[in-house]
Amino acid sequence: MNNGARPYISVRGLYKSFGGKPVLQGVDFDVHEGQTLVILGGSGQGKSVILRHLNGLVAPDRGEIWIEGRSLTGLSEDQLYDVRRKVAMVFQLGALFDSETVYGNISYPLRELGTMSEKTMAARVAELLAMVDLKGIERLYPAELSGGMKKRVALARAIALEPRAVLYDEPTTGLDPIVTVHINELIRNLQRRLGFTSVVVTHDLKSAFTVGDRFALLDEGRIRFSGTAEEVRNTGDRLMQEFLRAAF
Amino acid sequence: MAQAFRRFLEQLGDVGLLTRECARQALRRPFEGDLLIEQLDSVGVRSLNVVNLTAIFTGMVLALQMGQFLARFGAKIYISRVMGLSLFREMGPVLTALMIGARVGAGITAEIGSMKVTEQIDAMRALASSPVKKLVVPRVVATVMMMPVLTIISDAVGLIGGLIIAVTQLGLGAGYFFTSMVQNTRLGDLTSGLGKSVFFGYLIAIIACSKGLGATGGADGVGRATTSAVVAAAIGVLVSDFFLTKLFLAIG
Repeated sequence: MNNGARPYISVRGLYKSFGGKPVLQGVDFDVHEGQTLVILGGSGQGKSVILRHLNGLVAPDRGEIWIEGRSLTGLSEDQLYDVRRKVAMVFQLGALFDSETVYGNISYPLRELGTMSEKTMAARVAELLAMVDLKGIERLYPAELSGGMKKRVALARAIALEPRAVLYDEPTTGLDPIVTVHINELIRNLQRRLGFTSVVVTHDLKSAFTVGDRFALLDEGRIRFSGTAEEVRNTGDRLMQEFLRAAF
Repeated sequence: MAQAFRRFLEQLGDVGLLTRECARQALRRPFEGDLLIEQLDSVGVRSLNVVNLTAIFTGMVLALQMGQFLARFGAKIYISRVMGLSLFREMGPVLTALMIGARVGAGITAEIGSMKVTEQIDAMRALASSPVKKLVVPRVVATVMMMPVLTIISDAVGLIGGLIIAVTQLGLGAGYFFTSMVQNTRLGDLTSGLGKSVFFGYLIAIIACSKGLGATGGADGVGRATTSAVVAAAIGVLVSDFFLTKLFLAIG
């Protein structure tokens, strides 16, 4: 899928410590345009920390991140806004604004643009809700939604500005198996329909195989293994095999 | 001890950096008028009951204590002068600040803190908007604007409390109480109290926002941040009151 083209997201030699405790110790990977990379790993390995580097929510101690060939190093918070409009993020628990309705949440990034009329915005919100298989819930508050609905609304909010890439932090954690299947299908369908690049962080290998094109296993702060689904199944890597055994 | 001092300096640094970012975002367009009005209502209008209740009982207690004390020297007729001075310069701004610190400060930290631990602050940043502009600026500006207003109301209600005691317990006339107070209170007494209240408003809101943005963990972390914000705001108000009093006395 990469055809030798420049990667959309590129990470080289990423190091990050928190309170003196090293979390990332030289992470390298590329994600090509339209591709879905799944980062696998156990809890507390730093998967979400990697994701937060990709839109500049966290700055690296060392290393470089390039988005569309532009380095994020040294960019101010204001300059990062441009990156974040292109690289959206879906948070683990949705991170919907409690004080806003579903409409308020999804229209938030559109309103921030300051160029859209209320009427156009309402039509766009309805269109986005339809994309995530929800309709007529604009007036509900996040507290009135189920876990699966929150994830869908969070996804609708993330794609509101038609980003070029979407980062998913544990998109199926805390959902029952049926809803998990629906969310995975939704992620896959949206990715195919809209053609954006995706990075998914998960410890759920079943979900990973549904949504991913390539897979990277994070262990002790480094990418220990990376490859396609076929390569994952045939690898001799001990930890990857343990993951496979535990999942299937 | 050294660690506690280091932590204090770090927190001071956080407040300083947040102040700078708050000033930068406050001057940037678009101005968030709706959010400011919402906060003016939350900080000001909804604090009226607690401020009034505190003020009236403070005024009544002050009049009772002062009346008893001054009566020993046959000087209870001076009660309105003493009350005017104490309420305008000290009791009004400080007690209002302590009540607002507890009510509004705690509310701000709990709200921003729970947004922080549920990743809503990160979501705002990820959606290319500034949490400082959306959350901190309206709260700081509203608290700075409402504190002098609440202080004036508190001064007036406190005087009414004092008046009730002066008339019913000390046998003074209402007319005399007010005339004596107005004749012997300078505009500087009122303005120094209002000047203090503006600074207290800034202090309460910026500490509360900083603690909220620094909250970690879950509900427990938000609880700790909230307690810490109320304590820090109260200490900040009492310590800065000393220096502001010195300043206002020096400039007359």
